[in-house]
This record gives sequence, C-alpha cells and structure tokens, in this order.
Amino acid sequence: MVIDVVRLCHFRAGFRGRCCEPARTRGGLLAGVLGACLVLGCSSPAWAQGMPTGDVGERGAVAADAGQGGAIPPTLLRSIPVQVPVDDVPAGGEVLLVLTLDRTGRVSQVVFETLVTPRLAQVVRRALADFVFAPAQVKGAPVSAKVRFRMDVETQEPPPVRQRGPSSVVAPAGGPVVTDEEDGAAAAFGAQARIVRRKPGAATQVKLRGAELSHIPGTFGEPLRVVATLPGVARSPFGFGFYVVRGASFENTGFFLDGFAVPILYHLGAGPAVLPSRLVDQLDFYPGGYPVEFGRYTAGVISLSTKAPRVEGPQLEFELDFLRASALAVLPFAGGKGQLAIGARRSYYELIVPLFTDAVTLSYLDYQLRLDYAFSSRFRASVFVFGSRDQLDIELSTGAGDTAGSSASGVKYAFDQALVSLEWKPSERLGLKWSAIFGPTDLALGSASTGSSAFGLDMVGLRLGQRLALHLGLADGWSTTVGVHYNVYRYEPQGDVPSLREFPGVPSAGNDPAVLTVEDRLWELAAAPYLESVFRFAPLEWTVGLRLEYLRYALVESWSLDPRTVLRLHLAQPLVLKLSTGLFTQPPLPYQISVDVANPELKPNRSWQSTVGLEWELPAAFEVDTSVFYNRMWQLTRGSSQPVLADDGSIAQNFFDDDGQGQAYGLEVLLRRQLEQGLFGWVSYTLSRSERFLSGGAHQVFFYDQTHVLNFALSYVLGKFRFGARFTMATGRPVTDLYDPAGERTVFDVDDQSYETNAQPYGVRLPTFHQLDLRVDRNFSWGPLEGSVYLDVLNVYNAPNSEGYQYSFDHTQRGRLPGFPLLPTLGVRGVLR
Amino acid sequence: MRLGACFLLLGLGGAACVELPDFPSAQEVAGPRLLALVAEPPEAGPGQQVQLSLLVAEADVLEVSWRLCPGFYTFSGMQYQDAPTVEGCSGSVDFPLPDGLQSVVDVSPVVEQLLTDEAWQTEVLGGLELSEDALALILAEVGFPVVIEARARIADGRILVGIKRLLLSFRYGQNTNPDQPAFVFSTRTGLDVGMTYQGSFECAGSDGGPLRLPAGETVEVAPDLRPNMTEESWLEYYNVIDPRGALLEGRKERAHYAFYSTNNGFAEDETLSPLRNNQYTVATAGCHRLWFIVQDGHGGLSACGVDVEPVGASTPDPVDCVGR
Repeated sequence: MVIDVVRLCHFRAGFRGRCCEPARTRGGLLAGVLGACLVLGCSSPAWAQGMPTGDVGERGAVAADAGQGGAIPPTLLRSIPVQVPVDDVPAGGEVLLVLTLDRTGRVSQVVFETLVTPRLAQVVRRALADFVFAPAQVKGAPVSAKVRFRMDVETQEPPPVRQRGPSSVVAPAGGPVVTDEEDGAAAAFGAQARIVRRKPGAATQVKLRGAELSHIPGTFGEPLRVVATLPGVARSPFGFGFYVVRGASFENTGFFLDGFAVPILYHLGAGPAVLPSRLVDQLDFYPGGYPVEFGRYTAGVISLSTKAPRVEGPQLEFELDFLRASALAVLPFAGGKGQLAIGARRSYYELIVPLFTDAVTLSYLDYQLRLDYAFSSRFRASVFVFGSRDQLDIELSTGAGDTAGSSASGVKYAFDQALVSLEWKPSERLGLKWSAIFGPTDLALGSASTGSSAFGLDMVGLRLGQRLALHLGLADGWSTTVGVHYNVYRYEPQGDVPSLREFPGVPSAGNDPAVLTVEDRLWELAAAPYLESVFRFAPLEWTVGLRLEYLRYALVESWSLDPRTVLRLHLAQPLVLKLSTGLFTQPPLPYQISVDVANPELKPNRSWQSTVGLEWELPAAFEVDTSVFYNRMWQLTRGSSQPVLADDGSIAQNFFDDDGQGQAYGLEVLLRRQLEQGLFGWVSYTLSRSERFLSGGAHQVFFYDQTHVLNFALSYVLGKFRFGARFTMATGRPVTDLYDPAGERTVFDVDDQSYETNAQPYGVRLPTFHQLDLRVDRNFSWGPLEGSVYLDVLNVYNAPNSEGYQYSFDHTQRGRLPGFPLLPTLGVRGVLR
Repeated sequence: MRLGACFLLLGLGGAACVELPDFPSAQEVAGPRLLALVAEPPEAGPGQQVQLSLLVAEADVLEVSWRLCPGFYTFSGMQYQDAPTVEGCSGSVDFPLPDGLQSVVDVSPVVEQLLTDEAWQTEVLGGLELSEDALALILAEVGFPVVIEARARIADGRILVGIKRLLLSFRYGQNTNPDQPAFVFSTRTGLDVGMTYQGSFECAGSDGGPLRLPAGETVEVAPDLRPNMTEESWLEYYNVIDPRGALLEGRKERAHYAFYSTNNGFAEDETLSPLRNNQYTVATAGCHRLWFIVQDGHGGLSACGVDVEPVGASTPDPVDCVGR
C-alpha cells in the first residue's frame, strides 16, 4: 500500500519542512492528511508570513487528531549538511522535488520537477540519501509515501570562508532544529538550512521576513513599522513610521518596492501601509552605505520585495478589524507554473467616524493584482498592478452670530502603478533582470472658507522607470553586476496657492493672502548606470561599486559620480570586520524646485557615509552586529526666507536654499536571535548625535536627534498562541521650548495678535520616551477555514509619554502633547481554501 | 466616549483620546495685558511724524520705553536661517525714540539710516544688497517695514513688551488706521445698544456711560458699518511684492476684529470680514470690561475698551461700573 501524499514542503539551502499542502490524496484520507500536515508543522504559505502555526506542543496535539483519521504522514527525523553550489542555483531560487519514501522512511526515489544542473542534482540526491523520515503510517502500520518538497535557495554566492549565516549547513547531531525561516513550524522537520548573507555592497543590512514583518507588537502588522525597532532609526512622533535614519531628515531615506521608489507609504489617518503585508515577501533595511543598485537618497534605504503567497489550490484570505477589511484571492494555474493574485482593502471609517463627528469624512482603499508565470526554471515573469485611493475632508462651522459661515479643507491622494518584471538566467554564470514601472499619481489639496479666497492645488504626476541588471560570474571569487536604473517623472502642479511671504512682511491677524495661480510642468530625469564588482580572496571580501547619477530637473543638470566600497575581513570563524565608505546623491523634492513658487536651481543633496563595524555570530542562532558610523551631509535643502534678487533687479524669495550642512555620528548595536523553534527577537541600541551647521560655524542639534534609542522585540510561539512583546525607550527629541511662566521672554505681536517667545532653538528635550506593547495571536481552524485572532495592545502600562509641548496663548502655561495611551486592537485573519 | 474618541484617534491620527491641557482662553483678560500699539499714521514718509501710543488692560502703566529697529521678521514674517528666535529689537541697531506713555517717530532720519546703514539692510534683508534704485522702488511702491517696540513697566514691577510694524514709504495714498471701534449690541428683544469712542482707547455706551446689557443674555455683536454700507468704509488698497518678485497692485485691506473681555463672554476670540459678527454672553452680575481691536491687515489698528453693566431681573442691584 502506498499513500500518495503529494505534498509541498519547503527547503532552504538544503531544505526546510514547512508549507505542506496536500495536492491530492488517495484512500479517503483527507482528514488525516490535513491533520498530518499540521503534524509536520506545515502551514500554508499564508501562515508562513502572517499566521504561523505552532511548535512541538501544538503538533503533538494535532497528531492525536490525525491518528483518529487513520493516517499519519511521514515526519523528518534526520538531515545532513547540504552544500549548495550557488552557481547552480536555478532561476527563482527554488527546486521542486517529489520524494518517494519507503516503509523505513528512507528516500527511495527522487524526481526533480524543476530543471536543475547535473551538479545540483547530484548534490541533492547525495544529501537526500542520508535523510531519515519516520515513515507514514496507516492504522499504526508503516507504509510508503510520496512527498513533494520545495527547496528554496538564496541566490547569493558562497563565501570563501564561513560567513555570518553559513551557506554550509550543519545540523547538530540529535540537536535542536535550526532554521532561519520565518515560520516556527519549520522546526518540525528538524532541518538546519540557512543562507543569510548580505548584499555584498551593503555595509549593514537587516533582512526581515515572514512573522518578523507582521507580528511585532505595536506595528499593527505593518512591515514598514517594524523598521522603527531597528538600529540607526530614531523614533518618529506617535510612531507613525516616518524614519529619521542615522540623523538624516525623513525625506532622505528611501522606500523601494521591487527596486522602485514608492509614491506614498501609508494611508491617511494613521492608516496602514498602502501595500498589505501579505504581499511583502521580504524587507531589507540599509541604515546607510547601501549598494549601488539603489540611489537618490542620502541616508538609508528600506527595500520591500513583493511576492504573492504560494498556494497549491485556489485560496481566499481575509482580514477584519474595527477599521478595515481586506481580502486576497490566489489562483494557481498551468499546473502551478502561473499564479494570479487579486487583493483589495477598504476602510470603513465612514461607518464609525460619524458616530462621533460629522465634520470629518475619511476613507481609503487599495487594490493589487499580481500575475506570476514561470516559463521555465530559468525564465519567469511577473506583472504587478497596484493602486490606492485616499480621501480626507473636514468641514467646520466658523464665526458666530448672524454672519456665521463654514470652512472646508480636504486632501485626496491616488496612485496606480504597473510593475513588470522579467528574470532570465540562461546559465549559472549569467543572470539578467529587467523591470519597469509606470503609472500616475495625483495629490490634491484644497481649502475654502466663507468670505476668503479658495485655494487648491492638484499635483498630477506620471512616472516611468526601468531597471536592467546583468549579473556576471566572471571567475571564481569574482562577480560583477552591471545595471542601469532610470526614472522619468512629470509633475503638473496646477491650482491657486496662497501668496505667502509677500513683501512688505506685515503679519496679518486675518491672514488673507493673495492668490497665486500655479500652472507648472516639471520634468525630472534621473538615470544612473552602475557597476559593482565583488572580489573574494579569503579571508577578504571586497566590494567596489560605482554609480554615475545623472539628474535633470527644473533648471539643473547634474552629474554625480558616487563611488562606494565595502570591505569585509573574516577575522575568525564567527567574527567579521567590516568597513565601508561611499558617496550618495539625492535630488530635491518636487515642490522645492517649482519654477513658479520655489527654487528651480537647487542642487542635489549630498552625503558621504562611512562605517566601521563587527559582525559576530553566536551560538543558538544569536548574532551581534555593531557599527560606528559617520555621515557628512552638504548641499542639504533647507527652508529659507532669505530674499534674492530677481533677474530684473526686483526682490523675490526662493523659499528653499541648498546650502544646508550637517553631520551625524554614532554607534549601533543589534543583538538578534534568528527565528528558530518559534522564537525570534532582537535588541537594538543606537547612540548617536546629529547636528546641522549654522553660518558662523556653530553647530545646532538636529530637531529629531535622539541620543539613546533602545528597542526590544520578541516573539514566541507556544501551542496555538504566538506571544509578542516590544519595548521602546528613546531620549526625547529637542524642542524649542516657549514656556515662559513669568512672561519675561515673551513679546506680544500686535499685528497678528500673537505672542512670540525668545527661546533657544531646540534648546530642551522632551522627556525620555518609554513604552511596552504586547500582542497575542491565537490560531483556529474550522473546516476549510483557518485563521487567527489577535490582540495588539499599545502602551500596556499606559506610560504618560510626551510627543511635544502645547502652550497657553501667552506661553505662561505649558502642557504636554500626550502620546498614545493604552490602546488595544482586536482583529481576525482568515484563510479559506 | 473616551473609547469612541480613541476610534477617532485611529482614524485621524490625532490625539483625541488623550487628555489635552485645558488652557485659559486668549480673550479672557485675567490680569495686566498689553493689547494694542497704535502708530498714527501706520505708514509714513520723510517729513512726517508718527505718534505712538499703547493700550494696556487691567494695569497702571508707570513708564514706557520705545525703540525702533529693523527686525528679523520684517521682511517676510519669517526668520531666515540661523537667526535666533528673536522678536522685537535686539538692541544692536536700534533707533532711539522718546520715552513716555506716548512717543513720536520723526521718519526722515529713520529713512536716511535705512538707505545708508548697511547694518540695517543686513538685518532686514539678510545681507542682500539692494541697489539704491531697487530700494527707492520699494519705498515708492510698497513701503519698507520697521519694528516699533514698546516696553511698559506696570505697577507690580513687571514689564510688558509689544511690537508692531511701521511702514516707511514715499507712497501716494499711504495707509491709515481704521475708524475707531464702533459696535452695535443687539438683543433678542430687538434692543440695539451702540457705543462711541471717547478718546485715549476708551469707549462708552451711547449715553457716555457703561454699556448696559441684559444680564445673562447672549447678544449679537456687530461692527457698526456706516449706513447703506455692506463692508467697512475704511478699507484701503495697497501694493505688495509677491514671492516671485512681481508687484501686486490694488490689494484690498480686510477687516479683522479681536475681542477681549474680563468674563470670557465672547463666542469667538476674533472675527474676520465678512464673518465679522460675534456673540457675547453678558455676565449675570458684576461689572465687566470689554476691549475691541480693529485691524486692517496691513498695519492699521484702532482699539478701545468699554465697561459692561448687566441689567435686568437677574441683577436686582445694578452694579455701578463708575470708578473701575
């Protein structure tokens, strides 16, 4: 008797045992197979990222159920080290196998569903021959079984010596399971399989996947918000997720989606990210010194890689909470070669907000459509169309008595983007990837009030971007990537804007500026060929990158040659010394270069970033990453009221200048436990100082400088529960304190009926911030429906944090702007198969 | 409700479900306050003199020192980079003015200093060197603002500091101050109570005494426009240079009203035409005082204070405001 339990299990550089989906069963054993899938700690891909299943305890519990079904599928008992030649890694990095296991649990037959090189096939067969499974059982008797496995292989090349995260995997004999995978259930297979290597051109890279992205308390399941817990990141007010990385301003850190900068990150109203976490496969955070394939940001880069959940059959997922609902349907076709995913998310603020106020209308939705198709093991394509709609309107009554009126203001944001990607790997030493993005954006702002001029600005944008990268394995120990990345933006701001900062500057209490009509068309071309070579001569790995950044916008045409290099020296087996330095260029923001109302001659921002650090791999999946960094910044765009002479000799204003300068330096420490046996977490600490230079040589602390930032994040699976905790402590940011209880420094400005206080700019700091967030997820399964209920509690002990100060009209009284109080959120996620 | 506000918080990203400080209203005069500085006229050129005076509420002013200076904020209302957060005169390039409850500016030497003193130009324009022609054009078309600062020492020893701008110009049709405050208080019973300006920042009811308004009642407060006028008759036109360097001619002033009271009785702290009206809830007992600041949005200002005596059934013993 043979149980044909064709299953899909997941390997990584060897294998890992998760994600077992029964493709077909025989012998009426569906119930048993479903149970057995859980016995193995399997989960659907959906679980892999969002709803992990349990640990040993949970598996044991389900095994009993499976036994009642009469069949128990095979369980992996022993694995051996697997050395995967990186040159043989197939396109897409995965190998599908169908294994036949005999009654003793030995692999008796291996069928490759993926086309692989003979060398890879040989390595895999040799390894599998030594794998030992507990055989499948029917009514207690061992039987043969077929199992489908999927092997995921990272596409990095093997290091000359053991790196942080070995490519050669060693499973401790009889020891605990080791895996870096995001799913605690992976531990069920007892396989150690891990390749976690940084991009060679990155000085520091933190890679997050799966549960690490969606189960950190206080982040509401948003991968982008997890970045706030990483080293080098200062805390943003209310934790809204706009990051000050290594002392640079918000706009100097870029957010990339599959290689392209995204037009907007979050929905309005403290909403979630515009891309649901289920479509995020991996997040890479580079706090600085990022590889030359990225550019146009002078601080860090946050790079999201998208991927539809991997399924064996049609699947419907949904998620509900108090504020929104989302659904994602995934449909495989062509025998698994292709997959279609359609998702949408819609808020229902309009059902809730009117309970408390009629003045506010808020709504958002986003949608995603993704098509993936693998023409062969070496050629695959994907099309990803996604978009978002946000609208916020506020209408208030104004005035009193017989002349009362109203005021209305609103903001609307929409974008649609289509991202096409082709990946071709004709040989093991040659890889080619092309991707393009195209789509419009539209940002509209407006305000009107009775008796006043109406203002409104509609900024319509259109972007075309392309990337082409050619990877060449030129020789042993030498690989090169050549690529080009360009974007063409067209912005068309149109509307009526207030004529702020007229001359003479007599402040008006009524503030009724004239109307300036703006009808501009801005083009921005950013093109950058780049080249990166990696040389590996044990114990040294040297990466040299060069990015030639061509920028053309407004009245500026600029060439920047940005060399970057990273040196990694393997001092000892677990210890790596790293050094990096490089130049970075970033164009000004569109609104800063408007010919009509800004400064079209702004030069690009520049920075020079350098780091020295150590990486140290510790036992039990712990690792330490430290960096000392120094960033010098110049040509920074800054607000200015410095008047200038117009061409005709008249006096005008530019609003922005490009002579800002500054520096940031500090120490970062990350102690991280990779996900293993359902447990992952990290402690990050940043000691830093960020300053801006004033004319005359004085240094002024940057307004988001935070001397100490400490984060602790932990997540652990226990049975059907996943528990998480996050603790944050950060030095208060500097503020200009206007508090003047005796009125000694305060002046009454009669012209605009306001009080102004002479105060040292950013002379005091807010109190130290500290907050503990907890989260618990509880999995459930009702027939074809699986899911989890979660409770995310913000600020568990209700710490009275201050996000700023507020003042009485004359500044003689001061109160704090409180942070989030204790705030629970309840939600449910589900998967219907 | 708090939970509900938390939902709103999530929706709006605000701080709705947390306790915000409860500060006193800006309109409530609970102690000595400097409320107004008046330059008469608010725009002047060489050969003219400008009279300066100030209105301080609820305090006896012992002495006042006056200064005139260029100011960091005088160009655009915003500071340029690196400037300390300084309002008023820094003392480095001040122009001396006579001390006293009132003062006077002789404009001619001030203009001469502006045209010849680089330190002044640096202060005002952030180091930008303007040609004499450009400066002359500014003086001829839009006016050059300088800061007037008053430091008033009151009986309890404190010093109250206020600033306002004075426009220096050769312009034809220079700006003038608004008419003195005049409001009509209308009750639900159809009673209209007017007020008149008495001089020295003092207003009174039509009969020369305090305003007598029905106790506890909310009354409509409307600027007293001239007959058959739909807006203030004193609104004027002026020119500005917009941020692009273009001369915008014919900008019209807009009336702005600021309201102060000792009983926090106004519905709005300030109003702006055409939503110029306000509402005032009369106290049920006791004599209260109101102040009105009328501005044209271009440096022109008039102001006065008036006593309010609640009358009616709820105040069987009328309060005598005389002697306040």
